[in-house]
Amino acid sequence: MEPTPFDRLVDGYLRGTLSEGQAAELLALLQSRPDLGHELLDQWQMDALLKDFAPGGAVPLPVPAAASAPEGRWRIWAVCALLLAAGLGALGALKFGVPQPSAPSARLETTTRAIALLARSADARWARNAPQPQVGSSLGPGWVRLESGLIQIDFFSGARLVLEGPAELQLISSSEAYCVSGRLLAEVPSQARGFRMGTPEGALVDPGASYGLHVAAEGCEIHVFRGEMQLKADAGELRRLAPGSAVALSKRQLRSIALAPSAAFHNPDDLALRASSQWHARLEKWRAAGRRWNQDPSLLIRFDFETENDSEGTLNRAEAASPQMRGADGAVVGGGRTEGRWAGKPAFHFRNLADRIRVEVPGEFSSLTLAAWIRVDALERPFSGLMMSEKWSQGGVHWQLLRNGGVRLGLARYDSVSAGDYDSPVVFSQERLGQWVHLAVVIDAVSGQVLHYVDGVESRRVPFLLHPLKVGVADLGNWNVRATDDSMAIRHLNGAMDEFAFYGRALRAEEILELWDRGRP
Amino acid sequence: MDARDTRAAQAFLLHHAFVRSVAIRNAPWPGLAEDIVQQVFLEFLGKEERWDLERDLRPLLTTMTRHVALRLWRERTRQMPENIQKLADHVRQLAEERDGAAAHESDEDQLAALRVCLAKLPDKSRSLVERYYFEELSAQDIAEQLQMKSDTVCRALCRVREKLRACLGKNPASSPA
Repeated sequence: MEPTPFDRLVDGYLRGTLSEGQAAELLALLQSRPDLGHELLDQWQMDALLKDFAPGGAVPLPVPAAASAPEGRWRIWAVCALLLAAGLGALGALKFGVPQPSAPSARLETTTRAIALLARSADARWARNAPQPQVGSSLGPGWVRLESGLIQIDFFSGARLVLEGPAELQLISSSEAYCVSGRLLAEVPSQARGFRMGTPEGALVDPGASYGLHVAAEGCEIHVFRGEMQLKADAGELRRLAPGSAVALSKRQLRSIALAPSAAFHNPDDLALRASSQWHARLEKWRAAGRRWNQDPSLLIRFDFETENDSEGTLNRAEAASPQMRGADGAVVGGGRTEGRWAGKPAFHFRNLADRIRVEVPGEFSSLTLAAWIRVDALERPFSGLMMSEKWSQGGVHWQLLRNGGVRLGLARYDSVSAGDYDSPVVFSQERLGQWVHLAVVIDAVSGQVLHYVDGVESRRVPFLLHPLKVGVADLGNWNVRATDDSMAIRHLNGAMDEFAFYGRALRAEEILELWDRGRP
Repeated sequence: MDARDTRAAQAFLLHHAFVRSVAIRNAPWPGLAEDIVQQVFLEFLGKEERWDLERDLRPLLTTMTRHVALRLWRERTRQMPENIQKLADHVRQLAEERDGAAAHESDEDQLAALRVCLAKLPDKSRSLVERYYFEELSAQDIAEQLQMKSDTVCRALCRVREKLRACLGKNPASSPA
């Protein structure tokens, strides 16, 4: 077997991902070559300094000509977070006399390209090969191509559009868009004055108004329902459009037309109503699918969080599992109810370091599948538990989130050849926080692989070495390490869980896809 | 939390970077430093009536941090498989030997110097640092993005860290940033 390069061993050491075999290799190297020991320590110290420099998120590096900035300040916030995590609260009291970050340097802040939010949708069908954002997604500059249905886009400036497909709209900035085709209702509050809507015929500049716009191949129509607007046609002249007026613009010819009734354009209330009826239909479909899934004999635990009273535990819906698992409900510690994927559908909210759902899965497994709908509100700690076997004993399974937004499956080792951590690519970027995401991980003894899935799609597969898996007592959304003294690792999830399933077998890709498809909001 | 607790917490906040740097030196294992800082904070606050908050807290915090680091180190390594435990003990021994000879530098000053050195890196190296440390991508993730071998990425990261270390040697912490 070829020796592992020293640089790779260093990387494994710095990341904490060395296997036992690699640890033995590195130790042998360090013992035979003392100079490498110093090199490892040099690498370790520089690594620690760089980690100290990075504020735990995507932060641009200083550019060569940059002015100096208070780079140490972020750590004060890190400790404030730590204070909260420690459950001491009273953070407000700490504000007195504590050096507070004034306007933080832009170079030290996490940044985003997002300019708007997809606030609602109803029966939306996106154009093929176009981005297909889900409700709650942040939208960056780019094209929105809708074949049919309704969507509501809330710009960060405060302007709001209800767009009806078929439509093609370019998002340019938080206060500018360009409509190539389609019907839309724009509501621009005074805070968003100056919002500009371009069309092939000219641009509308809005000091605070509500208007309907219909753009088609033959020209466009503008109906002003409230407020006053300015129209700059391609010919260059600036026209004032009074409230209650309507114009048609085609090939640089402007003419007045009759004002359409406001009902001719869908407004946010219409959309909310349609979305709500659509949610209800999807919720019922998911419930029907759930009744079918509950009959799968390999399903050991399924929490749908539709219980009336969380204090009595979380009901295990698995109906065909072994007698010892049937009725093995979760024991709830702390937490609370929050709105789930659909309005009126409850989910379990993990808010502080005590919150968890305790489960017990006896026996040994060669394969298993874990799946959950989760909403991550923040990633403040190195690890946030999804399902964590108690302690870290042989065969234990740790499914957790990393601070970088990736998902890690950790399998506790039995011996020197068993593997350790299996990471997915980054799932939870800043823009994805606060959204419902379906995660699944499959440990497949037949193929010898760990497979990560995000929203029904495989995101990574990693080979793993076989050994029996023993979940035993485990926590959802937390970890109970049972330390020998009073210290405990803090790994609670900051977010919510709307469904959790534990199968004692490896689900096929199409089964994972169905879990997502039937459950997507 | 009363006014005295608040003052104690404030005092700790001001020394957070220092405590972390001591933790890193005393417990060279990934992820452990944050746990140590947290524990030191809890213990510092738990016994705050004993401390004279007007005096220089660094000697006290150094002792507390070393004590906590050793305790957590023992607890943590006990749970590790044998080979990893042996490696961890070996590296800790190396770190202790080195720490005995080295003076503690101010972490704040080191970060200021590091900022200067990062700015001097070629774009490619800076991008690598950004991906690995700021976006927290693994070497494998970066290798996939750049269509390289992950061993090459690991090697490049080691070289960048060496360069930064050399740069810090040439631009000591006291140099103007």
